[in-house]
Amino acid sequence: MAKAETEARDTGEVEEVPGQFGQGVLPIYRRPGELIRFLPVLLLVLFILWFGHSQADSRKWIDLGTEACYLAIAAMGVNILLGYTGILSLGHAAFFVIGGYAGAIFSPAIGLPPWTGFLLAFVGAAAMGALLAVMCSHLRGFYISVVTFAFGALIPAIVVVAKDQLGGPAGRSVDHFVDTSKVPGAGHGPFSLQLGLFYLCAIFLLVTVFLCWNLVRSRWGRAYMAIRESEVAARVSGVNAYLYKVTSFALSAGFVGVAGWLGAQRFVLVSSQVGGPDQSFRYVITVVVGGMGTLAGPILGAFGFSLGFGITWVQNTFRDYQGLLFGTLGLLAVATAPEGTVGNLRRYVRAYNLRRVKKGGAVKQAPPPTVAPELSRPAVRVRDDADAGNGEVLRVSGLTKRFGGVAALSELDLVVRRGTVHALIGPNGSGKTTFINVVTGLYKPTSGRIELDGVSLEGLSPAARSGRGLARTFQNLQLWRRMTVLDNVMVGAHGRYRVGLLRSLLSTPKSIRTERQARERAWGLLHFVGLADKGRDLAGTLPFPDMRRLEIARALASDPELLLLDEPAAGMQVSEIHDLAELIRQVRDAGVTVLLIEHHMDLVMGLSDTVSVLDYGQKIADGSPADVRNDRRVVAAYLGEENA
Amino acid sequence: MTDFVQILVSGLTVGSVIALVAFGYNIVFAATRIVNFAQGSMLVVAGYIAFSVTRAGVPIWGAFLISILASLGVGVLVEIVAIKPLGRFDPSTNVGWILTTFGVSLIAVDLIKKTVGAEARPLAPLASSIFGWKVARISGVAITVPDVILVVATILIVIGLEQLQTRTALGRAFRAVSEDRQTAGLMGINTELTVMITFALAGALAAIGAVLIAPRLFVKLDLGVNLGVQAFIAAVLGGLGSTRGAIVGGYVIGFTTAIVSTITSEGGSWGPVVVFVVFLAVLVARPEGIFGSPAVEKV
Amino acid sequence: MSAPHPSGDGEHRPRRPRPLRAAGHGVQAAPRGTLKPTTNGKKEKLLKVEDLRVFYGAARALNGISFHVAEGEVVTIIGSNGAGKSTTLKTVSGVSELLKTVSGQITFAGERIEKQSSHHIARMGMAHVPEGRRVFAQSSVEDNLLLGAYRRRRQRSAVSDGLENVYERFPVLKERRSQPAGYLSGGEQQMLAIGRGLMASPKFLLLDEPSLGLAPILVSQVFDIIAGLAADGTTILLVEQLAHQALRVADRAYVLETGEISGGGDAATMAADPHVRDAYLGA
Repeated sequence: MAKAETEARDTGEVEEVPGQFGQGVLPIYRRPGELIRFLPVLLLVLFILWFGHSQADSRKWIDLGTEACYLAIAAMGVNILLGYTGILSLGHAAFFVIGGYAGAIFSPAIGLPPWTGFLLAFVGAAAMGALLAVMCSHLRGFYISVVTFAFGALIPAIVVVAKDQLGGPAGRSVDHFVDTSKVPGAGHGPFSLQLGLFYLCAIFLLVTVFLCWNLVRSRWGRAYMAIRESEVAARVSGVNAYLYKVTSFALSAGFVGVAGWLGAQRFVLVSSQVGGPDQSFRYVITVVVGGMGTLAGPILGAFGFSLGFGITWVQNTFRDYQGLLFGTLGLLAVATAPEGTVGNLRRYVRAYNLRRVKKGGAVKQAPPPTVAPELSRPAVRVRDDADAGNGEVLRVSGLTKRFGGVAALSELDLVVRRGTVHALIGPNGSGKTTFINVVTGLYKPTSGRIELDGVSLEGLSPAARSGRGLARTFQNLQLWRRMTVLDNVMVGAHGRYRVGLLRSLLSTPKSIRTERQARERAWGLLHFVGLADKGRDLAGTLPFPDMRRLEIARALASDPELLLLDEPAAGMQVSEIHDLAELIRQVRDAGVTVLLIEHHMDLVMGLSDTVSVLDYGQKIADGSPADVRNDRRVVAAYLGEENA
Repeated sequence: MTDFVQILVSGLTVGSVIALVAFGYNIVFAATRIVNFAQGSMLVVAGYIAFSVTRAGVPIWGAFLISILASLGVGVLVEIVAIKPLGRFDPSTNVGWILTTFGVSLIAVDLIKKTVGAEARPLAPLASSIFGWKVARISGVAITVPDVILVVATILIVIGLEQLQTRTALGRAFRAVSEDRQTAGLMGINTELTVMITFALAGALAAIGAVLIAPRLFVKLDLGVNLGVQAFIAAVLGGLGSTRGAIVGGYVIGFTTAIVSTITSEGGSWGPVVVFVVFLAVLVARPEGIFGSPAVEKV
Repeated sequence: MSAPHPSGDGEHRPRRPRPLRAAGHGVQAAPRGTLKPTTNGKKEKLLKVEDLRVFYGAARALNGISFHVAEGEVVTIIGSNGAGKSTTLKTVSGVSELLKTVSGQITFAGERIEKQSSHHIARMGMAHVPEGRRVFAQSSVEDNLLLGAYRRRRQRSAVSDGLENVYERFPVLKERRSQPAGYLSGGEQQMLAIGRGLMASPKFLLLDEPSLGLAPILVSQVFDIIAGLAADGTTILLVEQLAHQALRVADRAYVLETGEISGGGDAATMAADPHVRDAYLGA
């Protein structure tokens, strides 16, 4: 039994650990041009049309349908932060209240026409969301949630206290609400106002779907997911994690704010009642049960809950026991099925597709596109202020790093010359990992200087260093396992093919063009490392040596001058190491300088042009492989003093 | 002068109440780095158990003991339902436990509503007079015997918990499990059992709290929610994981609320606002709280 | 006292490594071999590992290794980084790690333990001194030691005797008994970790890279201590990168390369073998 397991490991057929809470949901592979991907949206539109038509006479159902629509918008907002960026907010209902006040009270009060209220609702809520993000984005997961909880409890409390301006516990009535009987489809029946509001909410929902669809498929969405799966890897790949977390908070708050504005139209009232921690919890459960990290999930959850409560039996049983319902669902969802309804549906679809393939069915994937040769090689971005003259890519002087009283690096000097493979070796604990972390900006040095191409890297964040031409791989693999291989490489190119947030949301022609260029480049690099036919697989399903290649492809995507490889051969078999060496040679031949940290001496000695040896944080030897191998101090460092 | 005494008495009693619940949060966090959001509802459950038992004729001290014993089981039940199914995870990054413990608290409240009903239940105090003395009045402010018992018991409990955490093998095991689970296992510590024990202890603390608090505040449903939130804030303010922090945090919240309600005319409304603002401010400036160790921020 | 080192062109003179004990390095105990039967006698295999394979997710760490440790023996596994040494120890002591799959057989004191939890194995009498020491930094030195005795915490007098013994062996720990362990220097922490392991009064001591991160002079001190433990008859499995030190204190050795055992034998013989250097620095 265990033997079969280990064999499966060898062939890479086994998938990673089943979804834990907070990890992404598996995407379903769709060939480009397959229209079936639009099916859920089509179903939604049809449902809305059918619902509006068939329930036109039932005030109760129209109201519930309206609620379903705007709660779906709120859920999609929460999903951006929770499902895609991986941050759990326990206070998002506060933005519902903020949006309601901003859009339905404040906006008309300053003279804007009622129907434009959604703009201020979005902007006001988004601004507060950004403020909240600034307060907590530097904290670890649990404490971020605590801060959002405090925020989410504070806002309703402020509303309650501010009786004059905001109406206190009873809230304020909306004097200038939108005349929804003018909305197309509202008709002239007795409920035309309500029906009109339903269609208005539905329109906003579809707009939200459009925006989120574009967001998720853009470099912004990919960056959010990368932050969720491994923030460290995202940062060194050029993603400014702090900024992206703030924008994710802002966007998600904005959508909830618009939902709040719509809710205010429904009740003709804004109050703090709908803004407390219980409500925030419900938003989260809606997203989790529906399926976080998907687009359909929040909509399914919101519709399910809102319309479900319209069923008489449900209403009678659970009306007074909503806590029981939501609590149980939350418990079950997180403990047994964290991927939610849509997530689990996708599992079935994936399993079905896999079975179909195994039976010799349809070709598994579309073949990888062919790419122009110049895009299929590593490239080095030449910088304007580059000091191209002296042939030094990296110069480290007097680098010291202390942790408490211990010096992990001590007055280290190192020079890496352009176009070489430079190896850095040393026994365990000699400071190699610290070195690479300091150079890439994850640790701040105690003293010393690091210059890339003659320009000091001091004070630059890891993302900024990526922009200057530094890239790295990780010894313990920091791949974004629940994203596709192609997406992993595309995030690597994050800094190279830039598109602004607004353009991404609207999917403008420019953004489409830039995306296509980024995709082509990613395919090219996959061809280069030999992973092109696995481009649409999930990164987590790759066999182990392919994962290492993928990390290299991802690192090359930023067109680095210097590629830092952190023990790329760890865990590999001898034959795989041969292939790896060949790949590294090709990288060097393409003009990229390589700094290689390794323990496999055969690899190091056969491949490197220069070898530096660290021991106790200092450089003890520097030279050609043969010199270093026979250096007495090096032998002593590895094997111990013979005369100790 | 009356105001000052009022604040003092109110701050001490409310603060003790909050501190008692905060101890429960603390003991669980100290070993597991998890905040048990069901703590408040465990208190309400314990209170209803005590009430039902007294209604069956058992005297208050007996009910007290029975409630404590039952709550040990309740604590273990919460752990089995909300934490165990999550398997192995790092609590500071994988926060599903927030939703499961919160979910359990919602379920518990509704279950109580369904079985016992939502009305406030009175619970007899453990002792209503000491040597015939029932109520003292200082500057017109009433101090009853249950109030005194509440404050004294809180202080005794914090001393007891400190002793438990610093001097006993179990306390050492808690610290080991929270700091480095793997190595704790190498010492022969059954880490899963240890986690269960902390939840059981949290249950017992909830029961003690319920009986001490009930004479003042009665046993009712929203008690669990309100106290739960305030005690959570107190525990975080004081520093999660530190018993001293829990009691200091409790009194900080207690006194803040007392001061605010005495000074302002609105009374109740400004209290929460001030508390939440202080909470946010502390979280932004020093997330680990007063007595916590700064391990909270990222690289 | 000095021994010539192997020079680059392969020339070397056979050396006889000098037994640590006879050189008066401050270790008191009878020289090995006088208290116990020599390797001629058939000794109990305290630990037997057969065909152990370990994966972390898709990465292979150990590819079917087999070895054993007999009672009273000191066995060392040497090899360079990434060879799988720590993985071996952590698998033997039952430490559970994310995504780890284990196949093969591990028998300790007659019982199959490859599926047991680490706390169960610890209670069977195996003490693991982890890589990087991993003392409980926020607890005091004395608390750390008391935690080591957790499995026999009810035998109070035995525990306090054990505490006294550890303080005798490591006086610097006695000096710092109430300080938080995190304030100790690297060498002191290593002594604390070893002391903590001894507090369990173990049948079997696992030492994981005790030299890691220690300055050379501290490395000698630590290995003196290990030699002392060996002389007292403790059964030890020592995993170590510094081959020279390890081979001095051990009876037998195995060489681990890329997850496989590539050689082994009597420690004294291996100390003179150039193959050992090749295993580290490439051929």
